[in-house]
Amino acid sequence: MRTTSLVLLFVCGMAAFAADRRTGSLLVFNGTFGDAGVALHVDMVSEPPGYKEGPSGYTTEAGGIFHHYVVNDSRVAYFGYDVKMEQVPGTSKIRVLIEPLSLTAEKLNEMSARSADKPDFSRLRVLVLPKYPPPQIIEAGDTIALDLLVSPDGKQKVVDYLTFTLKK
Amino acid sequence: MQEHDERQLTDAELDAALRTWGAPAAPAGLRGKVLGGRERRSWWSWLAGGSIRVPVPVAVAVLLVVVAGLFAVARLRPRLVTRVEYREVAVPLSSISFQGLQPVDELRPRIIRRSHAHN
Repeated sequence: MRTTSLVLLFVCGMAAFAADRRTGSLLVFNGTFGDAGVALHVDMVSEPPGYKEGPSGYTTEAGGIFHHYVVNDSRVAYFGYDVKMEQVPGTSKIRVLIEPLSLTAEKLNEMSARSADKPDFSRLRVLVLPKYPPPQIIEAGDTIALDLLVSPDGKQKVVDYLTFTLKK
Repeated sequence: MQEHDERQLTDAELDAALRTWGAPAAPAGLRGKVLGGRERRSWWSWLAGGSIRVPVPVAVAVLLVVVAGLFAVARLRPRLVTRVEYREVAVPLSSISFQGLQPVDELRPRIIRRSHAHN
C-alpha cells in the first residue's frame, strides 16, 4: 500500500521562493520528488493580475504525486488535478502525467485541518473535468502552462505554470 | 326451663315442642359472606374488578414463558438497517462560479521551452 504523506507546502514555498513568483502570482509551490528525481516549481497566476483567489492549495504525496485543488467561492464544489512525473531513463527528458484529482475528501480535510478557512470537503462536490491531456514528454527546465479558470468573456484567467527540473 | 331440667320429657312432649320451635333467622349479611356475591356479578363486572387466585408455581411458570417469548420475538425481529445511497448528479461546470471564473472544459498543456521562458 502506498504510503501517503500529506504536507502543506505552499506556505513554505511562498516564503522561500518569493523571488520565483510571476506577476499576478497567487500561490507558489516548490518541491522535489525523491522517487522521481524531479524538482517541481508551480506558480498559480492571475492573468491579468487582480483575481481574488478563493481557497486553494497544493499537496504532495510520497512517490512523486503533486495535487492542486481549487474550491469555488460559494463552497459547493472543488476541482483539481494530479501531476505524476518521472525522468525518462538515460535522458534529460521528463515524462509528465496530468490526471484527475485523486485526493479523497477525508484526505483533503486532514490536510487542511490546521487552516482556519478550511472548507469541509465531505460536503462539497468534486468536479471532474471531461478530458485530461495525454502524457507529456518535456525537457528538463521546460514549463507546462495549464489554464484552470477562465471568465465567460475570456479576458481573465487563472493559469498554473509548472516548471520541471532534474535534481543534480 | 327450670322445670324442664328437673324432669324427663316424653317423646310426645318433645315432638310437640319441636313442632312449635322455629329456627332463628340467618343474619342479613350471611349470604353475602358465604357466596361473596359471585352469583349475582355479571361477566363484565367480573372482568372489571374480579380476581383469580393463582398458585405461585403457576404464576412463575407463566411469567417465565412470557419473558422467553418476548426475548424470542426481539431476536427474530429484523434489525433496523440504515442504507445510505449516493447518487452522482451531473452539474454543469458553467453553473459553478470561482470568484466569477469558471473551470476550463479541458486541461490543455502549453509547453514553454526553457529557451523561450520569460516573465
